[in-house]
Amino acid sequence: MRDAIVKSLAIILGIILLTLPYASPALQRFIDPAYGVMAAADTGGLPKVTLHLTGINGEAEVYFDRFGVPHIYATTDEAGFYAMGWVTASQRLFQMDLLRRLGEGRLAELVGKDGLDTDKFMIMSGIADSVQRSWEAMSADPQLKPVVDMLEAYSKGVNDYIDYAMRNNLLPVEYRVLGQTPEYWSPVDTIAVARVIAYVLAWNDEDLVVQHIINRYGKDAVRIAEVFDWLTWNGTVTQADCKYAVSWAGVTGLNHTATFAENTVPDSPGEIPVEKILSMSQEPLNYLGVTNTFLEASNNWVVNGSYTLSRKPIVANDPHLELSVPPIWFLAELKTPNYHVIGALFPGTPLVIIGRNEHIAWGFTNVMGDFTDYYYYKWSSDGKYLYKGKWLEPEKEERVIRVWDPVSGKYSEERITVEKTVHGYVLNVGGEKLAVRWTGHDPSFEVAFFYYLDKASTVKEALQAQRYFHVPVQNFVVADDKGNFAYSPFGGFPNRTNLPVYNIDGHLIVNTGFLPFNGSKGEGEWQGYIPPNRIPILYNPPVPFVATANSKVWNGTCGDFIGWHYHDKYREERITGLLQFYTFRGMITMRDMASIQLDQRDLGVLDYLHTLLNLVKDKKDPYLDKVRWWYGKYRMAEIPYISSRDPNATIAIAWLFTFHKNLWTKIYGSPEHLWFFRAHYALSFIKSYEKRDPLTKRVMGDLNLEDLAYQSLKEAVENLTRYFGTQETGKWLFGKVHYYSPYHPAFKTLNYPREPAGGATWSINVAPIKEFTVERGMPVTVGPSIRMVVDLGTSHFWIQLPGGESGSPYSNHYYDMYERLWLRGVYVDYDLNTPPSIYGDPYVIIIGGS
Amino acid sequence: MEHKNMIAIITGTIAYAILLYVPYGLTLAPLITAVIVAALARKGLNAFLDGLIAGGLALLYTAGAGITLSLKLMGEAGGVIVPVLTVLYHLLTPALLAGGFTIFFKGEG
Repeated sequence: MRDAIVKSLAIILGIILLTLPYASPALQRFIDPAYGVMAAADTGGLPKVTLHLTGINGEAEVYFDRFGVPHIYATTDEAGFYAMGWVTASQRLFQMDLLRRLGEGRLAELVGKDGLDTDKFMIMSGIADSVQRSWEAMSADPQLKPVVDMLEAYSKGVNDYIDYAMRNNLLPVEYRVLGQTPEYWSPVDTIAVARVIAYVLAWNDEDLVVQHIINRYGKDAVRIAEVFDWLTWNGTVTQADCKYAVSWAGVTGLNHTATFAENTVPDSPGEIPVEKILSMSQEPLNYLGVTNTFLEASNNWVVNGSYTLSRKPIVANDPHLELSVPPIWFLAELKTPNYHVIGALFPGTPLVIIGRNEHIAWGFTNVMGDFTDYYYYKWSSDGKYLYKGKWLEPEKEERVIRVWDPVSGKYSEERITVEKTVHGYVLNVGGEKLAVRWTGHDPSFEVAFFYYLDKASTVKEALQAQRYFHVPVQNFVVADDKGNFAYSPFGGFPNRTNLPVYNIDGHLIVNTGFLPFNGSKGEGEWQGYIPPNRIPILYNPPVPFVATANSKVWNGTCGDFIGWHYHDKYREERITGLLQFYTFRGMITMRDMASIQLDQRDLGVLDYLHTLLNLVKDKKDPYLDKVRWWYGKYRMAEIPYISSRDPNATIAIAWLFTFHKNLWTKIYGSPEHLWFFRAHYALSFIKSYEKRDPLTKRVMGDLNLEDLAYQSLKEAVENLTRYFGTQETGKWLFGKVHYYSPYHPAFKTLNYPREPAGGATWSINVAPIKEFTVERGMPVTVGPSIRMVVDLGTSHFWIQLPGGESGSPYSNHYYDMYERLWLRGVYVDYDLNTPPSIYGDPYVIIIGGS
Repeated sequence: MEHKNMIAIITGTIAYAILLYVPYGLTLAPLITAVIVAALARKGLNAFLDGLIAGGLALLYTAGAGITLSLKLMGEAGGVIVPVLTVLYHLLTPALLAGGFTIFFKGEG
């Protein structure tokens, strides 16, 4: 009897367990080993398949090399673009989906309510609308029909892979966790990916940070522009010399850009609340594997062929972006009748963004221009805004955001109202209201630029392709195998009018766009863009090299105003110094250029420490002595780089960062938005303080800089002691507290392993510090997102990636390049002349037919 | 282990692994496996253990490579409870049902 009861109970319990999958769809996904999260292990392999297609002409074969990099050989361009879509989706489908939904303001449809604020921002700010606007303009232009055809072939490739993955249970693990399936890809999605990149590189929040400082200290604090020295950037190192400048229009013979819409819009500022808007506008960064422009930086340079061993130019580029998982770049080679190109592309775009073809090589860094302006108004109680004496009704439109609930497996809806003034979209967050105008609001055809760039055979053709490039403006360096080279910061620079001039105690300060404009008075309105004949570039200048590192662009007065929030000079200074050395020596090789990219000497640390040590020169402290000793050795170049195994670097850099953060906290009122605070601003502030500038005195109050510096040292040492759990400073190895930490935007389980990092914020091989806490130390989440070197005298292409080609954690190529190449400073050497048979058998064979 | 227990485990495992791929497989797999094990195995605790092993082996077979990382992901996305429920589901459901079903196949103990 007892046995029967036990067995009956067992049955009841078993039946209860049987009903578990129906308790929630989320639970079902997790416990299902056949189709759920657990089944994602099958996604680790490379696809091996033959596809017979209709609607695509030509044939293609895809070979994968030992790092899983696809090499696509196609008999037609169409088949090549199709294959690129298919293969990229097979390795990075979830990442592509995330990026396009982000650009279109539909992230919450995929990831749920965590993406809602991001969507609200992308829609309210007009970024999502600009995607559609660009697509409409592009598809309406008959000259761009080949570009549209390319996007359609690519989309078909992506969509066929989606069908293949659904049929074969190969959806990436992220979909399984979220209970989602991918939507089909369309050409507009590629534009959305490009627009996301434009947002990362060219959307400016700096104006709002400055406004917060004005709110804190009053109208007179506009003088912060002088105190931080962003009006002149005294003593900085510039990228190019006006002496050799020629106009872009002059070189290309083109005096027009593509059909960008002309501007679609026809006393010192007081307090304007902006903090909530500022916080919201940073929201999308969380999903991008991106932080902000303080950390994001890049290097590129081109060396005149007269100084190289091959007698042809060498191009090098290492763009610094977030060390995301999977990496923001995807490597590929494409060979078709019109293209033979190898390099890095963004998942979701069909062509190489940074790389080389048989004749030219090119690279980018971001121009730190001012591409965004904000406008404030007087608003009436019934929602109208004052514009030049008239009360106008803003345009209003209601939008719906669908929000996925991964637990219930259902969508809900959120409604927001999009408002527009004569200047632009209204950011309306918690009672704060500002209109925003961004260069990216206008149609931009970056995809068309790459369509023509990737098949250009001369520098001049590459420069001509730039007519389609509007946003984000880049420091574009390019060289060809005939020996030509150029530097061209070409793109859409706003032509601002009616700039207000503030008179602060006799100091006249022009608001060039570093603060919100008074929209009611019509200040700072845009009248189109700076025309091509007014944009200076360098074309075969009589110089040994041109290097860019997000610094101030020109050293003279050529060109119009383009920006003010440049990067610190140190990378530019160090690259220039090393290139001068190599050009003096001559016979430059790719290996020399690689050694520059791997350089971990940090001139910013030297400069900053010099000032800090001066501030505390009268203090006696054993830790200070260690810093003084290290600084002395480092300055004398006994230590050629900041080593991850150096314990004394730990104290020096922890102190430097802590001081920098504390000074910013004093100025800004909180440590938020530390990204804004360049070393140049800090050191200029210290100089102004030493000259008894009244604004700096007001900021510092009773505390003097010497005390702040010494307190920061104490705080840094205290934090290090707690972090390491010992006072034995010999054990404080820099790489133990300062480590690479590439991370997945949605699931930390999928992160790459941590590895010790040398270098620091201003080294060429950058490893910037954005936080230092007892719990986490100094995780480095930004770094060279690729490193590329090309010698135009050869057919070689050197590259490395901080990750792997595959987005599947089950793949052998999940982070093989990170482990085997990037961390060790080793490059893969590709050769455009390599026959495909060297890679073995083709994995994907595409046989098309009309 | 007795011969018929081994047969019960092997047959149960195969049935479980196959049935997971059919519609409503998450319900059918433990249910039918339990019936098979109960019919083939000895009574009570033996049947329970056979069901446990069959469920465990089938889970390893279908999700072996994915199981470690998946458990971590489950932990991250659904807390500790989800991985626990997952293991319990695939081990205990066929085991409890198999143990119980022996009443019907073998009569009261």
